Amino acid sequence: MSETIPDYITPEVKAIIGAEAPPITARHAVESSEVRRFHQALIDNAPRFWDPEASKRYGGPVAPMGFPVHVFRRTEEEPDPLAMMDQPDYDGVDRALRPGLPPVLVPLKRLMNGGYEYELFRHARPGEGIVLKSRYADIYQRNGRTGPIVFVVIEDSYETGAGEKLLRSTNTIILR
Amino acid sequence: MLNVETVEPTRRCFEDFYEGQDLPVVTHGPMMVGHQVRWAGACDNYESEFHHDEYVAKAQGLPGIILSGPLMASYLLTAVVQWMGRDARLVKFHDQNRGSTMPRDVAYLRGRVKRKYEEGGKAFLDLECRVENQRGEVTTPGSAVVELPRR
Repeated sequence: MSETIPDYITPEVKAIIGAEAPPITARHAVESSEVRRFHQALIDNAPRFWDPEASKRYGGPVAPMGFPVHVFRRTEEEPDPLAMMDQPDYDGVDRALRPGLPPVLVPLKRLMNGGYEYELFRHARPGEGIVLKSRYADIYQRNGRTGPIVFVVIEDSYETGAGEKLLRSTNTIILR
Repeated sequence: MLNVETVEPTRRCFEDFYEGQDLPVVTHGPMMVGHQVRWAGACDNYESEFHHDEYVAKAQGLPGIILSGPLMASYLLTAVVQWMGRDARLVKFHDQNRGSTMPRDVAYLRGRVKRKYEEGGKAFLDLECRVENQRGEVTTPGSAVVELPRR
């Protein structure tokens, strides 16, 4: 007996394709200590990240190229996600995939980061603000051997507070 | 032989590379939960319990703790920058999280020059790159486009 595969791309889901978030500014300007933690996490001690002499050609120390993607830290106004861990159905996975974008309401439990495609413009520097503009470029379903899979394609543009391009990313999130 | 340093990479030029060239393997690991925890701290992102709690990971149907895909991709991006040298400009980078890296896995970062070409008076390389584990499984296939100086 064949089971009917549900179509998760409902009119409500279709309606949010193309949705754009208002520009979101990172919690604080780039700090040298967060750059240090980041390049140490990447096991990359290149002097361009910390040595004023070696980084002169960049105008001073800079952050690793992928850094802007990971600087949108929780503000004081946002709820603590760990505080929700006592709710039996909470799995730590937020369906609001970017700040300012509507949640993708698909009843699939597992969420995975499928990968990134980056277009890179320049390094961010300590002291610069980082602004994110996000948009749902596409949401579609494929039915695999293990069941339906929903792909959410998010375009993110990262700029400085002065409007200079840092990085453009296309990120695919997989719900299954 | 090209050396990969943990300091500012050597200057390398378009002429130093050829199509089909294998780039030196960068090895990380054995990967530990500590690598993941350090990444979570660097990103201030602690929400996905399966990245650091084996009990939760198994309860969610995973074989155990899974290290972050973006962490493995970031290692790969870093290797590309080191392979290409201090004056290269990374134009594009792509990665796909195809397989899992678990604690005690070793990550081998491999790269190859796929194409060498000039466009608009500038010199570029297309690279294929990947993270492979000790079983030879490709967990993170990737690619990059790099602009290089000429000698």
